[in-house]
Amino acid sequence: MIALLAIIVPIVTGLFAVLIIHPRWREIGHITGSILTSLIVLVLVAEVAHSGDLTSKNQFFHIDALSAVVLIIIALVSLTTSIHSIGYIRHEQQEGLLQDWQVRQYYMFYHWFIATMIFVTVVNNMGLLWVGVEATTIVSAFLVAIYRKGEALEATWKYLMICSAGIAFALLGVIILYASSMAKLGANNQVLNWTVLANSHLLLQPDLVALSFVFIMVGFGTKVGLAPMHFWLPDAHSQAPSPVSALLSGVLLNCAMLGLMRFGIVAENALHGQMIQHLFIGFGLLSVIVAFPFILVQQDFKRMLAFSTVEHMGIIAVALGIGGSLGYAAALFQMFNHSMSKSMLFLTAGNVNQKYKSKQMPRVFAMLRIMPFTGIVFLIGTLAITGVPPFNIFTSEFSIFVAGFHQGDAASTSVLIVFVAFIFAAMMFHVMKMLFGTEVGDRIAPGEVSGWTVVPLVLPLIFVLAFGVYMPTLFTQLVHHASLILAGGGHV
Amino acid sequence: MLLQALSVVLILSTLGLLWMKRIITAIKILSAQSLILGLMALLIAWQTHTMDLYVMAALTILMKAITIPIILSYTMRKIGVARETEKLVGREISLLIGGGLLTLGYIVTARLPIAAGSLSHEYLPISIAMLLIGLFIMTTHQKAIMQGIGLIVMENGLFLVALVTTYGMPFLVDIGVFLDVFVVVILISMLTYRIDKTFQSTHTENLRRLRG
Repeated sequence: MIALLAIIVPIVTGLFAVLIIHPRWREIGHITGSILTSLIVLVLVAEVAHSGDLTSKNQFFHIDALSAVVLIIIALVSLTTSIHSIGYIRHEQQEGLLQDWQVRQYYMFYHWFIATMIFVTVVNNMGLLWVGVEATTIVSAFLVAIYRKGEALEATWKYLMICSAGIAFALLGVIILYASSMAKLGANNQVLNWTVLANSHLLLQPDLVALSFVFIMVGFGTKVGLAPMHFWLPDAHSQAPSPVSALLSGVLLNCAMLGLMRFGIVAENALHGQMIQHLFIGFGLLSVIVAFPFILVQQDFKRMLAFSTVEHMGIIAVALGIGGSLGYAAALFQMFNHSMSKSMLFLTAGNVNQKYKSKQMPRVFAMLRIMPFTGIVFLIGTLAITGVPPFNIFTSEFSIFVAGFHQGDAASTSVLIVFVAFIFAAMMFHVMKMLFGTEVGDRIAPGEVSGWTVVPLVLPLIFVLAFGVYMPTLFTQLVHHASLILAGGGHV
Repeated sequence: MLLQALSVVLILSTLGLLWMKRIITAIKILSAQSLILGLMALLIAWQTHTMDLYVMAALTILMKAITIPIILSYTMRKIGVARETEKLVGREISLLIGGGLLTLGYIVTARLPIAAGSLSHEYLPISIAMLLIGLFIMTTHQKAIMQGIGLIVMENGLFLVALVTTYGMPFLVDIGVFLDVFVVVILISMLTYRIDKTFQSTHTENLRRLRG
């Protein structure tokens, strides 16, 4: 089974990275492993796109169009961050910020992190999905803590405590769901399987399912970074090494969102009410609203990007709440587009951080002159992330707004539009100063940090530029299938 | 009968955590609590003839009652002599709130459609109370390691929920949850040690620099 291979390859690569002493060989192993992982994942996606759902014989793995959308994101973003990591980590080592043993640890946990995320997307049993999400927290906590400085430790501690406590409530929800499904089907190992629970003829007890989903919404919502459970997110995203920030924001949150979607579909089948929509729209809108003031007063550019992530997770949640074939498809497009733009932005933020030796916005100036390529990519990324045409996020956000009015959620859609516009203004205000601002002194020599940190930006850049005007039919078809699953009609 | 007696000790130990002054004592109570939980799992396994539960009971006693406390007290020894806990809320009020949370457990679960006389009817309130008290410990204690202990109490509460409502989760899920908890404890120990080395204290007051 290819799915198993997709998990084993990164685990083995991680082991390889920690065992190899020679830095050059370690990097070669790291890159080979990353490329191999991405290829295997893309093969899985191609198979799903070509011949529909894949389920392993023992029912352990199940990959449908919904997982495939997240898998594409994993493959693309992890490849980009892998290449970027080499340049980023080499520079940190030269600066003396990381020792050799820390670098070995970094590469090991980096690949294990990717393995856990792939596990979350391909596993069939929804209890194991929970286990996978908790495992992503643990493994990435090691990565956030890699610098071992005061602030990094603080961020890790908050991340571990808030996410573990939050996800504990999700486990309570899973147990309740298991109890109600067991009452229907009897005790056996299959009753928590997605392939069993997604069956709309199952008719679970509505009160229990409603209770269970509230806990799951809080638990997975914490991990997705929905307000008011988002407090860990800006800390962890700003303190982690930039390639890891890109992975956290661009991939991990989507994996958690995938879990939320799956449980949402199961609950939707049993409830047939508006509760789930209201929960998604409520938490989503709150996230967008909360993100705005924090972006406005922000001094640290990585934290600004992190709050923008809170905003975008909110937008995706609202889109999922709005629903309808357009709303679901738009949510998935938004997810993909956000991952591309945000991972690109976090990587450029890493370059800026290394060049200016600061994360404070007032200390960054004249980026377009000092590091032209990174500067331009940063500008394009900011324009894209704030929803300016003709870039990719404009298309998906616009579809969400259209879907909102179409489905009769005019009030919440209007609030969403207003706050997206506010956030656009706030982010442009900050970024313009960073790009064009006048120099304080003449101490920074123009030039990029290294080729390794510049070249990988091209991959997400292609998607940011192209997906605003054209999307390949293969991809839109896949998203269409996934939105059918979300609408509850694409399965069984 | 025996199960009931054990559950009384279980809830007493949870409330006891709110009363304790020294972290080492708290770790011992945690160990006792896990031991009781393991024994309860063993009893239920014996009554229902569930093979998986025997394994889980053994694992609970071996890991949660023995290994995890050893790791935690090792960390405490590495940091220094037995430290006292520090919290935002006094002992008396903590205990009062603990009692309140226990009552809340009964009120919340009374509304659920559960058959009277079933295991969950009797023990679900206790497990919910453990979950809530664990969360309470996490939020009010200021020493890093006590927050970790709160997390383990929450986890124990969840284990009890699964035990009494569904006789445990599917086996693989149970093992996975166990593995996660174990690694979390190791991570907590490592971080506590690091935080102590960096700030010369494990007081989370120091962890207030990241804001906004």
